[in-house]
Parts: sequence; C-alpha cells; structure tokens
Amino acid sequence: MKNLDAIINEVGFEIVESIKNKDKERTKYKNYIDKSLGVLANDGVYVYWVYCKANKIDDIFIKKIEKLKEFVNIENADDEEFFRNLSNDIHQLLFFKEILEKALIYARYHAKALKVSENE
Amino acid sequence: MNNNVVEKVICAIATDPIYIGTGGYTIGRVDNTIVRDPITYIPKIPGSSLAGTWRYYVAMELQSKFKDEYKKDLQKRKDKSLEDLFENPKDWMKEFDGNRYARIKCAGQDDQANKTFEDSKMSNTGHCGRCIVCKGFGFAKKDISNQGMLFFSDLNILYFPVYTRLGTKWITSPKLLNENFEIEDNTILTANGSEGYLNLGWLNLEVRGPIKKDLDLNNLDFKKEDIVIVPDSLISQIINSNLEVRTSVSIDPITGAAKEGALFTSEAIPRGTIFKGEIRGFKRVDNDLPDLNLVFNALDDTKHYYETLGIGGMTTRGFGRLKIDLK
Repeated sequence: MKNLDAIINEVGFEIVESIKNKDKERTKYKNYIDKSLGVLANDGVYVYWVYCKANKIDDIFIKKIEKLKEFVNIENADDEEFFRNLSNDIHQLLFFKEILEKALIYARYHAKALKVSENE
Repeated sequence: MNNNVVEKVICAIATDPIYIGTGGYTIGRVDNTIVRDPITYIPKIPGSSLAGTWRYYVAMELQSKFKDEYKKDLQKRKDKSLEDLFENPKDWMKEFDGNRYARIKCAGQDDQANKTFEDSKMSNTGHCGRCIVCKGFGFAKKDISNQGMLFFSDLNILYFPVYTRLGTKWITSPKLLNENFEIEDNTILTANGSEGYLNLGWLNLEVRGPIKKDLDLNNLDFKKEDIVIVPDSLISQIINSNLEVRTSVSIDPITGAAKEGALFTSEAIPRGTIFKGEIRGFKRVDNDLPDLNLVFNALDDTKHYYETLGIGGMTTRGFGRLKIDLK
C-alpha cells in the first residue's frame, strides 16, 4: 500500500526545496509553479511536459515529479515515452493529471509560505 | 408529493461568469476557489446563495412600491388600507396584510434578533416577522421564530459549454440528466453521432453514436445538435478543466500601475452554463401565513433582478448575471 497524499506532499515539498537552491533564478522558478499549473489544468499533461521542456525548467518540474509516476502503469519508459504513452488510457491520464495538479498546488502554497517568511 | 408541498423547477442560464466563493477554506490552483459538490467535485450554486439574494430582491421590490410618505415611517402606515400604502401594487403585495410592516431590513441578517416579536412590529430595523418576506423565507426573534415556507435546492449544472472544433457544445452526462443512456466508457454521444472524434477542451473523445432520446431542453435557446453526452466518469474532469480563470491585480493609486505582489486569480463557472434546481413551497397550517401562490408570485415577479444585479461575488466586475426560468 502506498500513501498517496504523503507522496504528493513530498513531491510538492521537494519542488520548493529545489527552488530554494536556485539563488538568482528563485523568483523565476517560483512563478513557474503557477504557470505550469495553469498549463496543466487548461491543456493537459502532455502540454505540461512540452511547456517544461520549452522553458528549460524540466530539471525541477519533470525530475522532481518522478515519484508520482509510480502510481500509473507505464514501465521502463523514459520521460518522452512516459508522457506520450500516458494518454493511451484516459483514466490513467486523468488520474495522473489530478495527482500532479495536487502536488503543484501544494508546491504553490509551500512557495507562498516561503515568501511570507522571507518578508518577515 | 403530497398536497402540502408544491414544487417548482428552476432552470437558469449564466449570462456572465458566476463566482460563488468557498470563503477560503480550500486551496487550489487559483487563489479564490468556488463552491463545489463534495461528492462529484462539480461546481454549483448553493441554495443558500439563491435564497439569500432572492429574499433581498423580494424585499427590495416590495419596498420600492410603497408610496414615498410610507417608505420609512411605519407609524404613518397605521389605519391605512394596503391599496393606499402602495403605488400600483402587485397581488402579492396588496393581498397579504402583514406587508404593511415590511422594511428593507427584512432581508439580510436580522440586526435585532434579540428583540421580541411584538417589539419588532413598528421598529424601523431588523426583520418584522410579519411580511411576505419574513413569512416566506423565515425569521427568528427572541420569543418567536418561524421556518420559511420556501425550501431552495442547490442549482446544479445541467449543461456546461465547452469549446470544440465544431463550435461550442454543451456537455452533460446521464447522471446530470437523471436518465439512462447507452454510453460506453471513454466515448461520447452527439445528436447525429457521425463526427468520428470530437475534442472537448484538451480531451479528444470518440463519438460512438447518436443520442436516441429526446432531451428536456426547457425552452432553452439551443438545439439538440448542440448537446454532447459524456460518461459520468469524465464529466467532472471536463467541467473542471474548462472553468473560467481570471487573473487580477491591484492598482497602486499613486503610480496607476500594478501593485507589487498584489496579483490574484479567481475561477468561475463560465457564461452559457445551464443550471437546474427546484424550490419547494410548504403549506403549513397557520392562519398568519400568506397563500403559497402569492409567495411564488413574489419570486416570479422579482427573478428579473438576477438579469441585472446577479448572484455571488464580484457582480460589480463582470460576474454574476443569471437568467432564471421558474415553472
């Protein structure tokens, strides 16, 4: 048994932890949480992947979500293959979208909390 | 249904995006999230929002028909006939004597709930407990309280507009329509059923056949050709992927430019969405209550306010208008 919420939580937290180490690019990456979340919600998972590649933010927004891939049944696939094959099963696709969206929402609020403590 | 309960169906179409906030007890991809059904995760208009606004609109309409000299001074209304108090009154205004005590404060939260029923009679503020507004929607005073005669259900989405390659289509599902359709998983039904594939937002789904049943379109301004039936398992995802999201920013009054860090986003149910719900009227055995027909007439007479003043939040900023049909 895997605790879904715990993993989502962890992914959201790790995204923000990696952003913390980005020094000069911190704000840019923080804004990308909202932007990628918008792309994911409006255009779906594949477009999210393309968006992350296009903006060269895949070092965080693709690499740090690896753990979520365990919840869908696509074996031995590299990133490109994974995101292409995911849409073969619509329910798997929608489930992955939902958990990824949740992880990014958690990251969004972790980042907000970061902003508050920085200002204090 | 027994004779003591009369049910009316409300059908409504959003002419603006509708924003009814959760009040900040949930988080989401946007800052200001809207109310959703906890079971299906589909957005809705809660019955409490509908009842609250409608109460205000009935109170406002009633108040606007008082002749100027009687509008504020309740003492002057004594010993006058209802015909004399109002200017061109409607039947629901002149046929119920309790209306002589009506005030605009009969809508909204009762600011004198700790007063007795008798003390509230001639007061200029708080619920009067006697007019068609207080009787119809309910009131609670220190010594007497009355449940309202009207019971509002939530307005649930019946047809939801989605952009497709063939123009805007309104999606619905067997459960939303409360009907059975032979629909296979991951496929959709359209009026003629021969489109092959049809994209609903970012999802491209196979059209498996025609809709074989007649649909209840409630005199709405669209045809069966505009309807797409999707499986119950997908409806929530498609609706939530196609909500309107607006980004706003506060303006710094000194510079006239956007304020740093004051960006926020809101989601809303898009215009063109069609809702369905019902209002039950309960005929209680009580001589002081108005006839149920009068109460429904009051609703029917004031529903037009939703077309101008609307419902929910941000109604002064392009949100909230609704066209209501009550049958």
